[in-house]
Amino acid sequence: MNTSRREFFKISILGSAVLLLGSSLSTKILAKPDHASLEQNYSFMRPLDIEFILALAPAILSVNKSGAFTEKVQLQLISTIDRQIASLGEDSQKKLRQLFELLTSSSLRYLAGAPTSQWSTTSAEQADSFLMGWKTSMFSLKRTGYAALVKLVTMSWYCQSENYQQSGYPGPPKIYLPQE
Amino acid sequence: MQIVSEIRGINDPFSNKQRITQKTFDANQLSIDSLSADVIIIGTGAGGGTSAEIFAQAGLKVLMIEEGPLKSTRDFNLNEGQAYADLYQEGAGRVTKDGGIGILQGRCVGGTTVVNWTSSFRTPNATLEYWQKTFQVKGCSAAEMTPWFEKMEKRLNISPWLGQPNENNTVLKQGCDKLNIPWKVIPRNVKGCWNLGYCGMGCPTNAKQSMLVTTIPDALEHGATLLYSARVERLVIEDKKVTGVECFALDKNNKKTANKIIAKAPYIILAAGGINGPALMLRSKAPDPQNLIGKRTFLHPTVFSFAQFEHEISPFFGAPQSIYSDHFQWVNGAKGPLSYKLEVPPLHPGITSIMLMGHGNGLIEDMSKLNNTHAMLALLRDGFDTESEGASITLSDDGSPIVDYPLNEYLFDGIKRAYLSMAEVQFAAGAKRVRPAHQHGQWFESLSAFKSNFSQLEHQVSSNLIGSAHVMGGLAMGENKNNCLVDSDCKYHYLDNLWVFDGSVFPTSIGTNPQLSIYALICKQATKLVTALNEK
Repeated sequence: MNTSRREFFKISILGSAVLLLGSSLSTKILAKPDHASLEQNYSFMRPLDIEFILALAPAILSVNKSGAFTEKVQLQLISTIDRQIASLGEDSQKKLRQLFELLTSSSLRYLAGAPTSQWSTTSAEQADSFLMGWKTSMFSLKRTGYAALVKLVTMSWYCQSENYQQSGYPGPPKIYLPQE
Repeated sequence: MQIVSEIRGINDPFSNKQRITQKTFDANQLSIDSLSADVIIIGTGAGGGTSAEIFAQAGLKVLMIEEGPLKSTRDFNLNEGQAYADLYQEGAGRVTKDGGIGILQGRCVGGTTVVNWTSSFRTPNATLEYWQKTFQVKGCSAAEMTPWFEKMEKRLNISPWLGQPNENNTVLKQGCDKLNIPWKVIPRNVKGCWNLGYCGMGCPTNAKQSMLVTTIPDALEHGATLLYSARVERLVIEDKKVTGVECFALDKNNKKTANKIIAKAPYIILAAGGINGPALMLRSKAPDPQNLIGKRTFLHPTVFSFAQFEHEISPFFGAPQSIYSDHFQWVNGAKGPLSYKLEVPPLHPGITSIMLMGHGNGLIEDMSKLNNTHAMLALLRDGFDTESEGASITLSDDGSPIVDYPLNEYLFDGIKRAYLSMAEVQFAAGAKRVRPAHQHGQWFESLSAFKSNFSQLEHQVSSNLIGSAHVMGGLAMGENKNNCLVDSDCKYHYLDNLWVFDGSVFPTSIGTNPQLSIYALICKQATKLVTALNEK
C-alpha cells in the first residue's frame, strides 16, 4: 500500500473515531497527568490538554523547557489559551474538544500520526515532526488542525505584554483615565 | 511619525455620570421579562446605529437589542487578546466550515464599526449598476445615492486622510509610483484622530466616528433604549407578521442564561449583519419559498503578502489604512476573472503570528523582524461572476451559524494573480524579501526568483491565509423574487412588518470596504420608512 492510501485509511478511521466518540469520550480512559500542579480551574483545558499543549509549545515557539520556558511562563501561556478558547463560539469549542480528545487519547492518537509515548515525555523534535506531518498532510482536516493548534499557541504567546520585546513591539501607549 | 506614549483625560460617553448611560440595560440584570416599543432594532452596527438615530429623532420609541457587551472608551486598553475576546464574534476566531477563511466581525454595542480600520468608500458605480441590471434594485443608481453618501460623510466626518501615511502604507504608495500604477488616499471616519494605529481594538480617544460615539448616543438622547448582552434567539412569526422578538440574556462569558425576554413592537428592523441575521431568519423559520436565506453570503476573501525592509516600518503604529489602489479591481468590468483592491493591514504581534502561518525557528525569526515588516492585502471582489456564489449559511445543533464557503479554482486563480501583483509592488518599493502568506510560502529575494518559483505553491484549503473583515449578502435586495428576499426599500418580501437594514441586503460584495455603503443605503431606507410612518 502506498503512503497516501495508507494515510487515507488512517484518516478515515480517524474521522469515524471522532464521529463515534464525539465529545463524549469519557475521561475514565484518559490517563492521569504527570503534573498535578497544573490542575487549576480552567474553563476548557483539562490536565491532559495541558500536557499536550506544553509538549507542542517548545516546538512551536522554539523555547526550551530547561531555559526561559519556566513553569510560571507555562502556566501563564495555558491560562491565556484557556481564556482565548473560552471566547470562541460553542461550535468551535466542541470541535476543539474533539481534536484535543483525539490527540490526548492513548488509544487513538497513533492513528493521527502523533507520537505513541505520553505527551509529557515527548521531545521538541518529536513534537515538531508531528506538527510538520499535519502541516504537509494531503488532508485538509489535518492541515486545518495544524493551523488551529499553532494559532492558539502563537496568538496567546505574542499577545502577552511580557513577550512584546520578542517582536520588537514597544507596546501600546499608556492610558490614564480621567477621575469619574 | 510622532509615536504617542500616553493618553490622558479622554471622557467616556457611557461613563456612569452620563445621562444616556441610564438608558442602557444589561439584559442579565433586567428585572422584567417583557419590553415594548414602536420600533425594535436588532443589532447596533452600521445599519442598526444609523437607523436608530433616524427613528429616535423622528419621535418614535426605539428599542435597540445587541448581543454583544457594552464596551466603551475606558475599556479600550489596547491589549490585543482582550480586544479580540471582548469585541469580536467568537473571539475573532470565527471561521468558515472547512477552516479555509477566518472572519473578523464585530460583536459589541456599535458592532463592526467599533473595530474596523475606518476606511470609508462610496459604493462603486459598477456595483450599483450591476445590482440594477441583475437584481432589479430600484432607486440605488449613483445619482440617487449621492445625497445619502454626502449626508453620512458629513454625519461621520468622513474625508480623505490628511496626515502622512505611516510607513506600512507608504510602501504601497511608493511601489505604485514606481510601477506607474494609480493610487489614492483613503477617506476615513475620524474626528481629531491621534494617528495611534489601534482602530481594530476600539478607539481609546473617541476619534473614530463609530456608531458607539455618534448615532447610538444621539438615539439614546432622543429617548431610545439599549438592551445589551441579549441574544435574539427567534422572531415569533404569525400570519405574515413578526409579533415578538424572543431574547435570552448572556452572562459575562457570553453563555446563554435562562433569563428570557420578549420584546414587542409594530415595526421590526433586522440589523444583525451578514451571517447572524440570516441565521436568525433560519432559526425563526421565516417564510422563504425560494430557499434563499443565507445563500450568496460574500466575504471579500482577502490574501496577504509580507515584505521585509531595511528601514523600520513599525506596522503597528499610525492610521492603519490610508492608501489604496483600485488598479486591478475593475479591469474586466463587473464580471470575469476575480479582481482585487490593494490596501495594507496593521500588524500587531498576536495577529501577525497567526498571519505568518508557521511554527518554530522560521516563525520566531520572522516575528523578531516585525518592526521592519510590511504587509499588503488584496481584497477579492466576490459575487459578480457565475463562478462566485459565495457562502451559504446553515445552522449547527445549537442554532449557531455555520458559514460554508467552498474554495474553488476561480478563487485560487484570483489569489495567485493577487500574490504576484503584491510582490511586484513590494519589490518596486524596495523590499529586500517578499513572502506570500501561505503555509509553505518562502521568502524570495527578487521578483524574478518570486516569479520562477511561486507557481510551485499549491493552493488548497488552509494552505493560504485567507481572511475576511467584510460580511455581505445572505438576504439580497431587489425586486426579482427569484434571487432576492427584500425589496428595494429593504422590506422583507414575505413579511409585512420586517425590514432588513444592514450589509446582508447587498446582492453581491461591494468591491471596497463596505461601511459607508451600509450607512448611506440604510440612511436612505430608514428616512423613507420614517416618512411613510409619519404620514400614517
